[in-house]
Amino acid sequence: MKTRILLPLLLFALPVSALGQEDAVRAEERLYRAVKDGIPPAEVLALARDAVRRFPGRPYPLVILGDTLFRLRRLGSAVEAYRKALAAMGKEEREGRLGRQTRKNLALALREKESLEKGLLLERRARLAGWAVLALLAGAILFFSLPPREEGGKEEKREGRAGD
Amino acid sequence: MGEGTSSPRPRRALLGLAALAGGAGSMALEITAVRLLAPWFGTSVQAWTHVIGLVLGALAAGYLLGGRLADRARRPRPGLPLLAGGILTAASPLLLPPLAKAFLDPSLPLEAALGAMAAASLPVSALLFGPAVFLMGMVPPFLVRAWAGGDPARVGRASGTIYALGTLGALAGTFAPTWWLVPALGTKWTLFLAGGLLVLAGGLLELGLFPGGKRGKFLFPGCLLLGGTGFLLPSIPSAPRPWKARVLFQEESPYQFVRVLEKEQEGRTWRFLTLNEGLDSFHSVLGLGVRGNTGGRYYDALTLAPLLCDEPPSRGARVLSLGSAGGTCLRLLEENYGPGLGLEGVEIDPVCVKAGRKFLDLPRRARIHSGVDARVFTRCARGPYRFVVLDAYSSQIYIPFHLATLEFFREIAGLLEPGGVVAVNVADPSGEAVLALPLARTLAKAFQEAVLLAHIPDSRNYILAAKKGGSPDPARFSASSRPGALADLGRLLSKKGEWKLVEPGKGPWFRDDWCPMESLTWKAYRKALEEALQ
Repeated sequence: MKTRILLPLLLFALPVSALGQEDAVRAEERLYRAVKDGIPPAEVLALARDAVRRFPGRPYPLVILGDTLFRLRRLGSAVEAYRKALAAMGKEEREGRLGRQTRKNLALALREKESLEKGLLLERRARLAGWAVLALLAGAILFFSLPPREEGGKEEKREGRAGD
Repeated sequence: MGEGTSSPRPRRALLGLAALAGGAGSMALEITAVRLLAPWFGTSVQAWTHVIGLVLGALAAGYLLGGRLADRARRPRPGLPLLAGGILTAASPLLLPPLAKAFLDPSLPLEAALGAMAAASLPVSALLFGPAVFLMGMVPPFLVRAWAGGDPARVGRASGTIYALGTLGALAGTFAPTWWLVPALGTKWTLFLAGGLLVLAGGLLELGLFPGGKRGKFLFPGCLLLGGTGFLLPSIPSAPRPWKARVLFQEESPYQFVRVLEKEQEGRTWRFLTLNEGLDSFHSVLGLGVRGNTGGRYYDALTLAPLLCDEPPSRGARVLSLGSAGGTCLRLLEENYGPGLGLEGVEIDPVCVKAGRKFLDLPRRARIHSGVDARVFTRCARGPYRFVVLDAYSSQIYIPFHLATLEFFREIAGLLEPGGVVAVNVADPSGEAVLALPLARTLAKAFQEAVLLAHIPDSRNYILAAKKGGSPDPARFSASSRPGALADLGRLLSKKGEWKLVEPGKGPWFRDDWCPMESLTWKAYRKALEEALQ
């Protein structure tokens, strides 16, 4: 019974998976050619995104996606793509040339992203200090422009006498 | 009890001197403060705004407290705040490096550091100059009271005289640093001199008003502090130490802090001309042993732009570089189009030209109009030129607005020969041509032709090109006969998708009376930062 069900399924699934494999290889070849021919990054990005969507488990389109995003200075997305690519690689691939290069690029993208984040952090610190300085200055001006307490008292006394 | 009887009669000459010194010191500090901050925080509109605003705020607070204390004090002593303000003014260059380091990291790229630099100039200038200016602000009310000598009928004349003398002093403090002191002595010693003047005036006032036993009580420590500051001043760095680079040249020019740095990159030695805060931004570049290109930097695209002329420049053709800095564009034009070109450059800062001649191979034959603004030059120049390249920047990232308007581009069109081309370098890292597109429309309107707009690969720059009598054909970018980097870039730029032709459209176009260059540039950099972190 099992054989009757599984065999046709297997017979049907094999060519489909082989075809899928072939498509993935073809898509990767197209990506490789696009990069090699130096077509505009926006087009490479569209091709890479399409390949990643169609063949989610394949590392190569993810690597190209990461590279293109890195080139377009979308560092956050590039880091994400590189990480997914490394996760999709088998042990051999990860230790091989593609894996080494991807790790190197990931480290570079992370470093650049961290430097941008550090810039934002410094900016936030500077803004905070700037507001503090402005508040201090405004407070000092307000405080110094208040009439001295004794003068106010004298003023009230004088008014009181006048009223009497 | 009347004031005139309780205190020694003030010497009016000394009071007048104090008013002059106070005005001169506060204004010299304000003018020089931006120059002191420039190598760390740049000279952006924000930096100027923060320094001026801070000075005004601190003066207001000082006037208020000074007025209050002057009313209360039995014997007004205006010499003391002058003395203290003078010492703080002289010491400000010593305090800047540790303060700046709290808000800056010189290893950051420009787009990362830009926001921090703009914002940090406020707290840093407040901590650095605020107390000194506040103390100087306290002085005039004391002087008015001392001058009036307790007679209310003389307060009007006293305040008029003191404020007039203070303003005259401020006038001197405005002109002297710009025209004489900073060019001759540099920023640090100008501030030291301003501080010294205040200490002198404060000291004389103390001695003159209190000729009795209190003489020297505050003077001796004041002079000691001033002397100590002068002793330490030469060892204080004028700018942050450059990131992984050697300094070959550095000089304060009338406009900015100029440096030539040498770095190892991709196995070669490169020299960069950097201005003010520098960071990873540069204004001229030379690769030692590299001819005809700059290793893929934006100058290579500008070098390809003459190919868009009906007849690319050759022997005898005149080419003009506006904002030539250390002469990178002129050198590349000579190396790629032959030594017979009539090379001319316009550079407002003579120190950049000097650095270019000495360290960046600025062609000897090139005629440089140094110390002249590009707009003034184009108004007076006699064409025709075959090719004009505009690569002028101020405060690191901004194209000077008067070099980006319809009126200016019309002047350029008037200088070109038919079929000649103008190329403009536009730093716009937004990825969406936030600045480059309206600028392209303005250029197109001035030339009455479609203008080429292309992003320079792997850079934060765009190139705009307009041709007199037609629109440029991007296919000509690939006509470079030189092998290697330049030809590859040419092929890339000539591909569809890398460029677009921009029509004048309906505007708005940048004009002399409306050109939001600063806000658009700022928007482009912020957009780049936000997108990078996505």
